[in-house]
Amino acid sequence: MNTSHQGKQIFLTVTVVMVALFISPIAVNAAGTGNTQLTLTINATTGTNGGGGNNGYLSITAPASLNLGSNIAFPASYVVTSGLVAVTDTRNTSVGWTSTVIMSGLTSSTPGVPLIPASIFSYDPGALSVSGSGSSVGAQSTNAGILSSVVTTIGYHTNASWTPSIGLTYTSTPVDGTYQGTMTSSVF
Amino acid sequence: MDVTLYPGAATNIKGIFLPLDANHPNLLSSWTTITPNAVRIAPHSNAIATVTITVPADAPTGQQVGIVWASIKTSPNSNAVGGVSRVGIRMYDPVSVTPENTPGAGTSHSAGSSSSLPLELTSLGLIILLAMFFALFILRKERKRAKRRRRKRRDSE
Repeated sequence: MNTSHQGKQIFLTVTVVMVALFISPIAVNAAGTGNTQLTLTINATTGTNGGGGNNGYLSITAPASLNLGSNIAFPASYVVTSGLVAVTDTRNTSVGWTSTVIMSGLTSSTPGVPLIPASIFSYDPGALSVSGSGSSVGAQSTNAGILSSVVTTIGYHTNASWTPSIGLTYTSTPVDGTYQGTMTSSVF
Repeated sequence: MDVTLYPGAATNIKGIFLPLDANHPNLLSSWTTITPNAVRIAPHSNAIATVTITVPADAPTGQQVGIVWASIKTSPNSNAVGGVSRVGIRMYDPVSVTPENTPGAGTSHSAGSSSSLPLELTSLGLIILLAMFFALFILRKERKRAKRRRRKRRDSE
């Protein structure tokens, strides 16, 4: 994340390239020896969900961009809406899937400037839109280091999407400068 | 699109499967290699990688869980954050004690299955056994009481 601000104002912009990755189910050869080998197929596209492997796939489409606001007076507490997150699972398994979001702390490009900790962020997945037979979809409370988890326990041919809200709470005024961070969107 | 492939550790506590960050590897993630570990894929095309899990002969007994990740990262520019999107496939590797993984031999394991069921069954069996002992204890106590009551009745008559 790149953050620049003047005085007690801050401008934050997050841009994440929209991407979908597809992985076909892993075929595992259980072996009595100490070695197991399997193949992994990764399909790539850009844009919205689509395509995928022949035998089913798991994919995630992460937000294309996230603007965290500008001209903010500190200390501040506010919420911004992210872009759509979409997960597709066409694998014939009953494992289901979990999606998590991890936000790193924000580091300054200026040496010696304190890190803005990841604890300033909160994540609310909001309403979930679900289709397919994956009926047990819901948001879980946060875990250490993970902002939020969205989980299906039954996931035959599930499509789920949600538009999360990300909260930021600055209890103090950050030092002027440019900050960088990473937002990791995962599905597994 | 540049895709990075790497193994990661995970936890599976009370059925909640969650990844651990790269700073916290576990045995399964250290046993797992992916070749190649980075691929460049054109849009709407694909790449194939091989995942190899090598369990050493002296692996401790117990279930190991991890994730094989396919990850892309955007390059941060002057006014943006680097974002990471990743898809993971879960790995379950129950390492069981068999003649094969006694010292000096190979280790029996399989990915994609779970060893938790036998453990649950063992716990359930223990609970049932304890419950049976308890029931037997109560039954014997009740019989003794009934005997005592009968004796008292006889004595009073």
